[in-house]
Amino acid sequence: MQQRKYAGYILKFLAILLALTLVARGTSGATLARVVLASPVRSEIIDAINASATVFSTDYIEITAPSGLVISEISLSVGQNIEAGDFVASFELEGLEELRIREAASLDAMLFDLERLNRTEDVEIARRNLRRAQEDYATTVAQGEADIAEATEYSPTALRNHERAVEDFYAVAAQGESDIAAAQSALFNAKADDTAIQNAIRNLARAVEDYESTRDQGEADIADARRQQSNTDRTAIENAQRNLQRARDDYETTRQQTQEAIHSAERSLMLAWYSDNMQTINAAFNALEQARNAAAPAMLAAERRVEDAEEALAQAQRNFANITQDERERAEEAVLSAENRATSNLLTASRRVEDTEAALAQAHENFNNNVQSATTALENAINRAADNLQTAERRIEDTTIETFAQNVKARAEENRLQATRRIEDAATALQTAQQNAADTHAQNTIFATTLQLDIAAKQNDILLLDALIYTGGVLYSHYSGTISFVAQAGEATSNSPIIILRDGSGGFEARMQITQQQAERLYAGAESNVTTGGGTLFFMPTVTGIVSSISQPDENNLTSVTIALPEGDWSIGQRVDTQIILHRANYELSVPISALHSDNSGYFVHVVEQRNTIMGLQNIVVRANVSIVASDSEMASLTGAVNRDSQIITGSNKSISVGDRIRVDG
Amino acid sequence: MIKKINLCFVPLVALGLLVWWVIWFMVMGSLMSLEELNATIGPALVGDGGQVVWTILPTWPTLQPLVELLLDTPQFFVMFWNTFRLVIPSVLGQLVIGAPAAWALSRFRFRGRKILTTVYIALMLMPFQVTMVPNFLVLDRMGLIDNVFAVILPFAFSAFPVFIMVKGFDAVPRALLEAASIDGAGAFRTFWSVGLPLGTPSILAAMVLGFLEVWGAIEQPMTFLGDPTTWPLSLFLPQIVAEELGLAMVASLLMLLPAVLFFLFGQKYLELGIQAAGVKE
Repeated sequence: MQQRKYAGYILKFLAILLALTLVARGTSGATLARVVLASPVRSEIIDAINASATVFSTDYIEITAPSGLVISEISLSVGQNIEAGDFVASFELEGLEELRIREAASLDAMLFDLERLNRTEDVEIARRNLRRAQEDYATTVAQGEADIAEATEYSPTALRNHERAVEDFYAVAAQGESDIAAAQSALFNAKADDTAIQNAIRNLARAVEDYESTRDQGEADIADARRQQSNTDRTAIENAQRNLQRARDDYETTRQQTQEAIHSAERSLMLAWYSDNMQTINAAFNALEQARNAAAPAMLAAERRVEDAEEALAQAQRNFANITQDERERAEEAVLSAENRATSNLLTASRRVEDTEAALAQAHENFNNNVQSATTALENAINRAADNLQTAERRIEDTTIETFAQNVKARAEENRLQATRRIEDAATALQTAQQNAADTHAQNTIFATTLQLDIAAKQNDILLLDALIYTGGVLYSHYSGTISFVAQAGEATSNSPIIILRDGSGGFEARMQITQQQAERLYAGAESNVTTGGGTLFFMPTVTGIVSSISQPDENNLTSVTIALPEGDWSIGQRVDTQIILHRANYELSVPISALHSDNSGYFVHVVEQRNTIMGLQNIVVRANVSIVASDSEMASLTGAVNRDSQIITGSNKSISVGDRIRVDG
Repeated sequence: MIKKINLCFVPLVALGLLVWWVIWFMVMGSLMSLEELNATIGPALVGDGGQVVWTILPTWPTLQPLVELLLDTPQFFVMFWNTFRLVIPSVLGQLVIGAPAAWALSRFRFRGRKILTTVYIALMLMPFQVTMVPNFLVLDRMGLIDNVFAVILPFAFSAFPVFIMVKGFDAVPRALLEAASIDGAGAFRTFWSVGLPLGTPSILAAMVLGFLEVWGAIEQPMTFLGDPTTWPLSLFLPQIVAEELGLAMVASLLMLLPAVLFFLFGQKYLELGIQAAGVKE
């Protein structure tokens, strides 16, 4: 049973898988892209520039009016023929007069500007400065030559000056020696003068002796006074009491020590007794005797000390009892007085010592200062003498005849150099001024030329305005022809013409705009197929035009190309299609443009490749990198990883990418 | 007793979970989107560093890989049926060729029988890598390279089913054979009427094992089948790249299912066959 159940599971599983197989195959097939294939073929590729153009007339006459007027009436239309003298348009008179006044003022301003442009002043100033510098130079040179001539001859003044310089030299030398000697003498005297220091030392010694004697005297007086006082002071009693207590303490201590020694000897005797050793007993007995014998004198001495102390205490008490209160007070006062006196005397003596020490230091300082001053004075005297001597020597040199002449010559030369530099500066300034004047003149000439043209135009406008005013604001045509353009009533006039006439004597041209890249491949004289409108469904009339001009690219990188049209039924403003054939050739491997793709790596095409996959033989999309040799709007010639047998995908119903499985249509 | 069961239960459950973890991983992986697979196990496959994270349940479960495989991958089904195209003839060949061979080795006594049995066992023990080159040379000489019979024939003449069936036929009592012989049955009649019915468990066991062997065979198709249109399902998974992890998970699951079902179908006979192989008369 169980096997049947599992067998059933297996069969159901297989059935489900079978169904899913069909579903998967169905969805896979449905998602496959259908593609159209083509192999590269030989075809002609025309490299051409295609553009739309507008037809213009080559010869035309523009009728303009002064700018700023409002056309009040104009009753012409395009295509209308007019003759010379016909009415063209009318303008408002008030506007004309106002414009005339404004134009006249503008003309005056232009004339004023023109006059101002022709002025030159800076060059004259520079010329004048140069002339003055040249005159100064001549004067300076003449003066210098005169001075030199005078200086080279015999000059009493120069000789006299020289003799004086020699005399001054000797005088300066003598004065210098004298000053130095005086300074040396002063220094010697300063060093020898130490009297003040000696006196100060002596005074200091005396002050120190007085201090010591005063101190000793004071101490003696105090000691006497204290001795006096001690007799009236309870201090003696207290001392005696302390001595007595000390004596008693000593007595007690001696007694205890002697008793301890005796007791110790007695214990030793008892111990010796129990030992039954006669020698020990005897020794202990002897020790006891010795202890007893030593105790007696010690005790006696201690008792005597106590007795002495008691006696001293009794005496002190008796003395104190005999002194009266007044005597005590007098004694205390005497001690105090002695102390105060001693302190005061000592202070005075110490101050005297300090003063003498200060005087000694001051004496030392004064001595040093005097010596230093004398030394400095000597050095100054020496330096001054040397400087004066040197100055005198120079003056002797300067006052020689040759030196005098040289100085004069040097001065003259210096003056001449300065004058030369002034001339050079003035010449440079003149040159700069001339250059600036030339530049300004050139600039002004350009401005003047432009201004003159503007003045001429302005004058012309004024004449036109005068003419219009004269005719009451009516403009008549001076030419005959067919109107190809006319402005509208109510418009304001500007630089653009209000009427364009075509006199019929000229031809037609087509003007178009192409990119700069296209224009670079174009040349004047190239033929262009011009296809006009009209014609039938099967035939479009085409004529051949010649490229007559190619303009420079404008700011949008667009180039205007003019094609001269042959005679024919053209109308101005007509739109035509032009095709300028640059190159025409047959190429072996050409594919439709729809087969080409590009990315960052370059151009490529999708090629179908059959591969043996799990699903069997399938068409897989493969990328083939190519380069474009030539192309037009329909075909492109390729080189690269393609050949005549390559199956290139030219179209598909879905977007495809490399590796996709595809189905081929057809 | 209850304690004994409890003590055995824990390690057995642990081992069982360890085995089932792989299945669970595969099932949950087939429900994960490609982004989640790249985030969890992607680092282990790409090899550019990063931590591998395994989640018990998918964070954002989706049937998208399943749908993509079942509805948008016709190659999978082609290879699926290719596998059956290899398995069925192989198993039938093992039955047609191996069963009589096993009966002969089991019931007949002839000179060289033991040597032949030893050779069979030796061939059974040899791995494919050892016999690959001789097989290739023989098949090439026979002109069978790139042909499904290059895989079918070696499996049909495989030694392992013979070995299983021999043990099964050994269990057939000799008395029955002698009784059939007495009744006038010839060798083939005895084999057909006595041997085959009584040896059915071992035969089915051999067939199940043979199915499992051929179903998962990868070396032989990879070596002998150059034409992709003949490749079995075992060669589908190696083609899947890291960007198709979800497909790999679902394909593995679906490849496992037939094997599991066949195993469940033949489990009883497999057990009986193994039992019979262990019993000797």
